[in-house]
Amino acid sequence: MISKFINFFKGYLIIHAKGSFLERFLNLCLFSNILLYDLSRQDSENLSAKIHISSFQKLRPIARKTRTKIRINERYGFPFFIKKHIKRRGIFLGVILAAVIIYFFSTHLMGITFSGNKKISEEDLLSSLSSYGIEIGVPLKDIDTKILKNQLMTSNPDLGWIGLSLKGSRLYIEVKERTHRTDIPGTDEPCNLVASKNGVVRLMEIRDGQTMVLVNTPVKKGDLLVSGVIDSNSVGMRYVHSYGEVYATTWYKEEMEVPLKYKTKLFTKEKTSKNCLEFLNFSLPLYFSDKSPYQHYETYQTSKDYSLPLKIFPSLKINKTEYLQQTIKTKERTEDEAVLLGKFHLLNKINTKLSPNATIDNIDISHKTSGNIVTVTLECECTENIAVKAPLNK
Amino acid sequence: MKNNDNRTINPIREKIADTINISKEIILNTSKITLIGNKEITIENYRGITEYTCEKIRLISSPDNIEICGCNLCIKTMTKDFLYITGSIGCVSFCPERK
Repeated sequence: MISKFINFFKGYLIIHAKGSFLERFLNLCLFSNILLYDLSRQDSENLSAKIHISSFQKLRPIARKTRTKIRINERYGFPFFIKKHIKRRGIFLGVILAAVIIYFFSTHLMGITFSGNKKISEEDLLSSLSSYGIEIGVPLKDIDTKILKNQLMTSNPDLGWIGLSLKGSRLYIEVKERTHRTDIPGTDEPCNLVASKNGVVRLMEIRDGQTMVLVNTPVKKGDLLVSGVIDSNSVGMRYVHSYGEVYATTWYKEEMEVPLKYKTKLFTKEKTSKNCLEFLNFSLPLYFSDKSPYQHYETYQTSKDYSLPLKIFPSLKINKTEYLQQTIKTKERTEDEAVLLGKFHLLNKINTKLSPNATIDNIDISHKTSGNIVTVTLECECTENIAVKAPLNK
Repeated sequence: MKNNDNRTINPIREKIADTINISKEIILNTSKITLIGNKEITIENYRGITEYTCEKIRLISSPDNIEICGCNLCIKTMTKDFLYITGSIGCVSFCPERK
């Protein structure tokens, strides 16, 4: 295989030799170090063989000596290929251009890929990168990942850890975000328990601390329930980390207006999409006008990255915007339906306000109809843990 | 006379080759023939070609000439001391040098 490639690169000829003393011709070739290969004898006077271009000139005296006629049948190899195609400048220009492009792509930054960021947006990271001179198209030799890592870490307080790696001409940035410390006191720090909501205390399960309220007493938000300071005659004053649960009855009231006649948007099956090509920093829209073809519509945007497995090439991004047509219809609902809908929404709203493990004991729904609008009022009685830890006031 | 010389020299050379453990074809000045099945044959240390057709190839070599018979014989590579022949080889025989 390698020898074939070398032969092709050097160039070779297929020659045809005709004469009565071919064996002598071959022997003379051997002794003057002319390499003939792939010989095939057609008959007693004819022979064909392959020979390198450089050795061909040496054949002449031997051929004369042995009275052999030599004819070139075919020419193969790279030198002949060049000679044949030298006039086609387009090909050579293309080859040179391709080489230049590949050189440019493999020595300049062609893409930045982020992973692991949730709170920090890519735009923020990109802008901080560009402030340190890292943008698509900068030479790779100018990028020092160690220095850049330190610069990014010091400039962005939300970063917990950052990993930079250059693969091919692509910069991969792995981000671990910092989780901020909350102000809940530690388990061994003295603290109070205070009420997080208004309510009436029903049950107390206090494991440590001095209880400050009695069962069946109403409390307001922020009232001290359990104190972290215990003062006793035998031990004296000491600070404890008070913890436990204080279950209280709480009340919620929510109101909502539900119209009987309402407009809704319905999707028709019609949709159109507009594509936009993005390559490096250039974008090429594949449409003429930015306007939507429909009066009422909803848009979805998707973008896809197409990249070659070789990491030196920049990826081609296709941004697709889909327009889904909608029609607006006026619909009516009955009073009962309106109340049900209101109840559903209001319960959802209350559930978000409740503390975990809370139970709803009693629900009371009332509604008022005036013209087109039903006003639904929901009152409910719940039992929940209202104790939250708060630092001691020293 | 030459043959007689060869006969007397050869055993000594053979012994030398055996004791110093090097390739015999160099010391004895004979050719080395390698056959791969009946498809390929390589001959090293030969002196020239006397006949080349598709059915028969005859080579000058010492001490005896080599004759290769078969069909579709084709010389793939030919250098001064190496010959590589392909084709279906029928027989390889040695015939004494003609005087």
